[in-house]
This record gives sequence, C-alpha cells and structure tokens, in this order.
Amino acid sequence: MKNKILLTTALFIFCLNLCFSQSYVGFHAGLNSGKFSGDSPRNFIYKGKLQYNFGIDFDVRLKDDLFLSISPGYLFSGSKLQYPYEDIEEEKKEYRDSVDLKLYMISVPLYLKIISDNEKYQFLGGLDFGFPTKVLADNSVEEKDLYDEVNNFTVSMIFGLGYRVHFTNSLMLINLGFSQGITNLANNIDDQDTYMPRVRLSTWRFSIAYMLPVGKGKNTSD
Amino acid sequence: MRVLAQDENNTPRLNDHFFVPVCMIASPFIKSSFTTNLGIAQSSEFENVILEIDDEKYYGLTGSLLFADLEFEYQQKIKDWIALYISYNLTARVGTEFQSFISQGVSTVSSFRIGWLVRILETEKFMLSGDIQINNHSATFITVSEFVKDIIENDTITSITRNVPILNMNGGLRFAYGINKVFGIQGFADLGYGDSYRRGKSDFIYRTGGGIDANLASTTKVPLGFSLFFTASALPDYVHVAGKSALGTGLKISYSAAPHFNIGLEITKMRIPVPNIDDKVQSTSLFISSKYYFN
Repeated sequence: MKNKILLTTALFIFCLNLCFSQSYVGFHAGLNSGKFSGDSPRNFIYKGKLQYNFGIDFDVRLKDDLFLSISPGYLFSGSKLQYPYEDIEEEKKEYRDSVDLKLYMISVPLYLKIISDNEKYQFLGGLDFGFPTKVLADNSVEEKDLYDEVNNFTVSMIFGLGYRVHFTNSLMLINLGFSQGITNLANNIDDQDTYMPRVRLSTWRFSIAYMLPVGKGKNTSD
Repeated sequence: MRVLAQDENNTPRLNDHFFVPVCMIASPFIKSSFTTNLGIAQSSEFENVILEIDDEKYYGLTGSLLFADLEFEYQQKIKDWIALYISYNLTARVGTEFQSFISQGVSTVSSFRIGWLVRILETEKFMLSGDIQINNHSATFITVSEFVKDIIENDTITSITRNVPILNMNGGLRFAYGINKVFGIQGFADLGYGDSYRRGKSDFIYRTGGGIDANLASTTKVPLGFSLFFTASALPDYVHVAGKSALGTGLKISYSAAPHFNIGLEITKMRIPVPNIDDKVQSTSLFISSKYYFN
C-alpha cells in the first residue's frame, strides 16, 4: 500500500512538471521538535524531542504567486515521557525523563505555497500524510517495539512560513512550520476498553531547501 | 457631518456601510486584526443532580453556574484574497453554591485554533468567504459526583480530575451584505467533525450565527454602532456536553467612530446544556469585545 502511494505520487509530480510552466525541484534538510499531545499515562507528561528530517521537494507553479508543493521525505520524531520526582532532601518536585518514544515515518506533505508581493516570503498550508515505519519505546534498559500499537497512517495539518533567497539560477528556502496531527496515533484495537487514548503528534519543523527551476516559461526571479 | 472619514478607515465596509464586529459572528473580511474578548456569565438556578446511579437521579438543592471566558485572536492578511488566523480561548465554569459545586464541579476548557480564511466572492454590496480551521481543545473536569458514581457503579477508584483532549476540524462559509450606509447583515455557518467528550466516539459539530447591525457614525454625529444577533454552537469550548448545542440571542453596543478600532459591550442570553441536567439552563453573559484593524 505504501509503495503504491509513493509510486503514484512520483508519477503525478512528473506529469505535473511536464505540463505546467516554470516549477522547481530540490531537496531539504532540517530539524524538528515533536511532541505527543493528548492522553498520557497517569502522572506522566509528554515532553518535546529534537530530531531531524530530510527529503525532496517539488513546487508546481499554479499562478505567479501560488505553488502546489509536495515534499516526500523521512521524519525522525517522537516524544519523551516524564514522571514527577520529589526530592525530599531539597524539598522540590521536578519532572524527569522516563521513556524515550521514537517515531520514524515516511512523510508526504502536500500543501499550497503562497508567495508575498515582494517575492521574499512564502506562506504554507496543507496536509501531511505520514506512514510510520518504526515505533520504539526505550527506557534505557530495554527497547520495546510499539509498531502494532500505532496506526499505520496518520494525517496532519501544516501551517508555515518561509523566506526565499534568490540566486541567479536557483532558490534557497528557509522554512518554519507547525504540523498538528489530526488522526489518532494510538491504535485502539481493544474494543472492550472504554478508555480510548487520544494521542497525536504535533511538530515544529525548521528546514532549509535548495531548489532548481524546471519546466517551461521564462526564467523569472521566481 | 459624519464622524468617520472613509479613506482613512480600516474597518470593513461594503456599500459605504462600516460593519460592527461581533465576537459571536465570524467575520468574512480579509483584514489584519487583533481581537480580545473578555466575558462573564451566570446561569439561572436549576435543580442539581447530586448522584445518578443505575439511571436513577438523586436531586439536591438548587444552584447556578458561573462562567468566565477569555479569548485572543490574531488574523494576518497574506494577500487580498487569503488570511491566516490563530486564536486562544479559555473558558471556565464553576458551581456557585455548594450543591451545584458538588453536582457540576469545576471545568475548564482551553482551546487553540488555527485556520485559513479565503475570499470567494466580493461585489460592491456583498462578500462571501470560506474558512477551514483546526481546533485543539483540552478539557479538565473536577467533578465530585462523577467520582463517587465511578466508585459505586463501576467499582473502580478513579481520579476526581478528568482530562479530555479534543481535536476537531471545521469548515464553512461567512458572508456580509451592506444594505446601505447605516445597515448591514453578517452571518456564517460552520460544520466540523472530530473528537467529542465521549471517548471512542467522533461527532459532527456545527456553529452558526448572524445579525443585523446599524452604524450611526456613518451618517450622524453619534459615534455608536449596534448589532442584534443570534448564535447556535456545539463547539466544545462553549458546550461541555457531547451531542448538544447552545442557542442564544444578543445585543452589542459599541464605539464605532475610530478608523482602526472598535470596542463594545455584548449582552447575550443563551440556553446552554449542562451535564446531568436534562433541560438546558438559561444564562446571561456580558462580554467586552475589542478589535483593532491594522490594514
């Protein structure tokens, strides 16, 4: 199923690039800070975790200031679980790391990119389709595989903005975005359990992309 | 002599009518603006259900509920046809007497909302926009009666505090019509889907409202605007009971002579569903609502 979706996506992008006037292809890499939000085990809280992402980018021009973008890539994400620890001697309470939840997924964001009038800024909005490939819980003693306990398909909504740096024949993009998971990560396979945990991934992403123009049309500054 | 100078005014207008913003009515205008709403409400007295065991309700004395609401919203115009907005809302509800405190407890719902507003159609008199948003709510309930019920009925020791994360998406249409310099009409309708207060279930939710406003500052020396409106909402930040909705009507009186700013008082009568009570309770709310337009 995953392979079919990726292949269809690749064919779609190839056809679009042939048909539309000047578009861009490139690659990106960056950092992301992800955190699970929603239900956590009793007395535990989720904490953000800094990881990284990389992928390729296709920007298909729809209008002078509007692009349809797709950026398939790989996302290393997850969250930390912290528990409350009371230091009796110092009489203070603090949260300490307990379990490291690792979530690795293929990410296929599809979004609209709106370019500002001065062609220096861009605003993003769309959906991110995620396909988890590995889900682990590491408590520093052992690593447990949680792949069967999460859904194998997730959808997030993306919002972001970026800065465009124009070179003679290429473009560099500096992007900051936020994605909020819409679908539940937890796989509620036990219908007898009335307590259905709601867990979603919310991620801040920073990335730098390098893009080259392709397709028909004159080579404008954008 | 008119109070408002048209060319310097950022307030949304159609057909030379400057619209009065209402916090209960979503605006279709693509503007950069910052909005704050601060309000309190009190319900009428109702008979409290102290305990419900095996579908049998045990009533206590009458009591009422007090509500407080705080909201901030920022909207940024990106192009003439599209804007991005984010908002944060905090709603708290508490029983005012001991018996309503035991029955209803304390609940707070914090909501973070982010969305896009897109202009679909604009003429001299009419504007239509579409919006899509994602709402992330976090509800906390402190309910003594539910805690006791869990122990008696389900034979489990649970916490007196329940946390319910709720996420849903809305989409809808907003419109405005400038009848003439004095009168205008605004309205909207949203439909959404997502989590409800009942775990394991997802619900459709809706929100709609509309009103007619009169801005005297356009044609007289009186710097006031008025709006008469209605609202109906099943959103989790207003309605803490799954599958039900709150209905209300209201009046807004505002200072509308400033070219970039509007501030006013909204008085709303609502019928709100309350947990463990079959009938909706009446509530009266007062909101101080302010909006600053950047462009």
